[in-house]
Order: sequence, then structure tokens, then C-alpha cells
Amino acid sequence: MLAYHAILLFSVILIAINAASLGSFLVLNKMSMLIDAIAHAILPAIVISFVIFNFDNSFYTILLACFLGVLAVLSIHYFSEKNNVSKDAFIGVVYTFLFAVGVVLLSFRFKNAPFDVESILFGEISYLPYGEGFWINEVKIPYLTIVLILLTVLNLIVIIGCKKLWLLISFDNQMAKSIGIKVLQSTFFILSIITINTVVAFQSVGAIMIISLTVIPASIDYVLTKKLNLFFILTLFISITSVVLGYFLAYFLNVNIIAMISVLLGITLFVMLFFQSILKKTKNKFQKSL
Amino acid sequence: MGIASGLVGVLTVLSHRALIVDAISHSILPGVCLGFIFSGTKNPVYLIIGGLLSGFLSVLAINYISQKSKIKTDSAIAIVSSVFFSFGVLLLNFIQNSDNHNQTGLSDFLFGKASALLSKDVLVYLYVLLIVLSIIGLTFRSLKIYLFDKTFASTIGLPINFLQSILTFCIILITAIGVQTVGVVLMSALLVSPATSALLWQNKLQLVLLWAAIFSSISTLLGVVISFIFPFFPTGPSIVIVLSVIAFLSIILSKKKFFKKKSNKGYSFYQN
Repeated sequence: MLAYHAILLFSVILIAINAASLGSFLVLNKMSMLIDAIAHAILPAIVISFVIFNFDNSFYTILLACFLGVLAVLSIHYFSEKNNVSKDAFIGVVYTFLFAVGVVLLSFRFKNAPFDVESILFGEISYLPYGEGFWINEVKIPYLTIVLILLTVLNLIVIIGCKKLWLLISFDNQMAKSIGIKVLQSTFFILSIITINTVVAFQSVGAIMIISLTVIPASIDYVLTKKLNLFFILTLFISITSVVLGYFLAYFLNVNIIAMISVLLGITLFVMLFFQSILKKTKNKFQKSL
Repeated sequence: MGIASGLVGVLTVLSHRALIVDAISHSILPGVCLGFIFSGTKNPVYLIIGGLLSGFLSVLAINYISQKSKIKTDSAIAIVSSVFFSFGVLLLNFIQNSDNHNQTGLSDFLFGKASALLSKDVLVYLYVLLIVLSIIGLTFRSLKIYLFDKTFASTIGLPINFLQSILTFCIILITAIGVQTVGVVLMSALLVSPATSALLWQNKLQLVLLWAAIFSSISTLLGVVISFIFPFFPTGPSIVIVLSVIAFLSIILSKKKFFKKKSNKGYSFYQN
């Protein structure tokens, strides 16, 4: 039982860290809704790969889903470049289309699929330790946890390796372009890594809650700090604390873990905004009184 | 229903708030759950009232976040929609843990059950369509100016806040009621897709509204027919797929000039 909780908590923390560290890129570049689009758009990929390879969470699933996610982002980009209608309208069109395709595929092919629409929207992480895995000293380590560890390492490498690039693209697009960085390509590179993360987290976290895990910590930092290094450290801190708190709260209340975590994150954000506005007001009063 | 959502959709897309629909449709969930918890029944009136309230709250929250802090609107939308949705999931869990035997079928509200519509529901839709039509008809001139140029509208003394809240009200109303039919995720398609494709073809507001209504009614019809012929096709998603195919076709075809009449005349609503 203890091992179960330890593994589950560890995996959730990994998922949260992965999502949040990459979320900063989306928030800084005004692309938050793209994660929504990606999370919905990869549904057909997961269904199709289940049909063809009869195995979920495999390498092919990730490859196919990554392809679809990038395709969705590309098509949104292309449509909105070529036409005058605003970009978010196309996001709405593309992701709902792909999601609808996924739902149709799900409903007519197999009633015995290991997941249904409900579990995709809500996510159910407490089954994670029951997945396939191997045994060490009578403790079962699910493969998914290993994949998550690998992903965290990959993300770390990407973030450290591309920090300069990241900074330039996020804060000064024009400057980045003028010194010859291929902004579009590197954006798509980062987006595809985000897609990989989303796919892996997808089954356990659900399509909606992955958004809050990705966007909220980064948004909190966005209000609090201006330094990128601090940004990452704060992100880590916020997501780890909220995950641990949310995990135990959810355990005691017997509810969905990820939902609890994301509600906690939301409350954190609101409380912070509230205090910030109070702080501002008192500051203004103080200055006026001087 | 299709027509009404098409009409409102045009206004939504034109006011650059296409993604707000997404947030609203997600945040209907906690409202529906709360309505269920308080009333203890599945009476759609309570559920819709709950949905309306929480939809309204979500719009307020988005506005608060994006105005009071540095956080951009799109992040605000993403945050609000996912937090509200998670809160709804929590409430759903509570309901499942409690011993209320009425709970089955609550998830219909999420994933839609268009084929199981009752004649009572159809009447509700008719009323909604009438409300929306009359609102658009009454405020058409001022809406047009408002959508085209907000600053101009405010300088000539139009009640901007009033118009905006009317628009928001329409969006929330449509979403709260439509969610039952097509489900949470696909609701935004019903609003956004026909409007997008109509905007690609036409420049004038009247015509755009008309085309959006036509597009959405055609695809609703086709979707229903498809799901009737092939029973394994759920109704909501097939409507959405038809809608999206129309949208993609218009993206491709509308670029060819010979399909477009007087493309340079009329207002260009898309800029700003």
C-alpha cells in the first residue's frame, strides 16, 4: 500500500513538473490555448494506434500523436496566416474536428477499449500503478513511471540546452529573427516536445486537467517574477507543493486526484491575484500619503 | 438550435472571443453538478440555471484575471476553463460517492444525447432561437457598429457595456442549453465553425449571419441523417465533423477568386 502511494505520488509529481516547466513557453508566447488544442487533437491518434497496434502507451502511439499534434498546430498556423479571420476561431475549428473524429472512432469500433470518452476527459490516475511493469524487491514499478523519468531528463536537457533560444523567442521575437534564429522551426521543435509530454500524461491526467497543470504555475510566475531562472524554480516549487497537498486532500475526500490538484492551483492563483491587488492599493495609498 | 448557435457564433467570432465559448462550455459542468446537488433531481430547469450561473461566473473570472493582472486573455481562458472543469469533476465525484439514485444520466449533460431529444426540448430550443433572433434584430445597427469599431461606437454614445453583456448573455444561454445536445467539447465547434466558414465567404454582417445559419442548419441535418443511417455514429460528433468539413472546404475554396463576389467592397469586419 505504501509502495502504491509512493509510486503514484512520484509519477504525479513528474507529470506536473513536466507540464509546468514547458508551460512557461506557452504562456510567455501567448499560446496557452494551443495546449488545449493539442490535448484534444491527439485523441484520434491514440484511438488509431490502439486499433492498429492493439497496445496503448506504446512508442507508436506517441509518434502518431506527436505527428497529429504538430499537424494541428501547423494547420492552425497556416489557416490563420492565409486568412483574415482570427486565430482562435481556427483553433476552435481544428481541435473540435479532431476530437469529434476521435469520439466517432471510439464509439463505433470497439466497446471493449480500455478507455472511454469519460476517462479521457477526466483522467483516472489512481490506476497507474496497476499498469504493466516490472518487479524490484516485490515492489512493482510501472513502465509509465520509467517513461516519465526519461521524459523529465529530456525536458531538462532541452530547457538547459535551449535556454538562450527560449529567452530570445519568448521576450523578443523580432530580435531573435534579426540575429538569424529560425523562430518558426524552433517554436515547432518546442511544441513537439510539449506534444510528447501531453501524450504521455494524457491517459492518466485527462485532456482538460493537463491544461491547468501546464498553464497555471507558469501564469503565477508570470505575475510574480521577470527572471527566467527564477521562473523555472518557482514553477517547480508551486507544482510540487500543490501536487503533494492535492494528493493527500484527494485521498481523504475520495475524489479525483488531478482534479483536486488543479482546483488547488486555481485557488492559489486567485488568492495571489487578490493579495496582489490589495498590496497595490495599499502601496498607492502609502505613496499618496507621502 | 443549429441556426441559433450559428447566429450567435458569428457575433462571437467577430468580437474575437471564439475561445471563450470553450471556457464557458467547460465551466457549465460545476454549475450543472451544483444544480443537481441542491435540487436532488435531474430536472433540467435547475441544471440549466446552475449552468447559466457558473458560465456567467467563468466569464467574470476571465475578465477579472485578464484585466487585473499581466496574465494574457488566452492564458486566463485556459486557466478558468480547466479549473472550473476540475471543480466540476470533483463535484461529480462527490455525487458518485453519495447515495443519490438519481445520479445516472447526469453525464448525458456532458457528452450529449441529441438523438434522444424530447419534444419538450425542441420547444425550449425554439424559444431560445426566438430570444436570440429578437435580440439580434433589435440591436442590429448598434451591434454592427460595436463589432466593427469599438472606439467609434463609444464615441457616438452607444451603450458598449450593455451590448457586451447582451452578447455574453446570448453566448452563455446558447452554450448552457446546447451542451445537453452535443456535449461539452463539441459545443464550441457548433458556435465557431459555421461562423468561421461564413466569414470566409462574405463581408456583410447580414449575409454572414445568413450564411452561418445556412451552414449550421445544413450540417445539423446532415449529421442527424448520418447518425440515423449508421447507428454507430453518435449524433453530436457527426454534426461537428460535417461542420468542420464545410469549414475546411471554405478555407480552401474561398481563396479562389471566382467564388468570391465583390470581395473588396463592404465592411471588412475581420481587421482590428
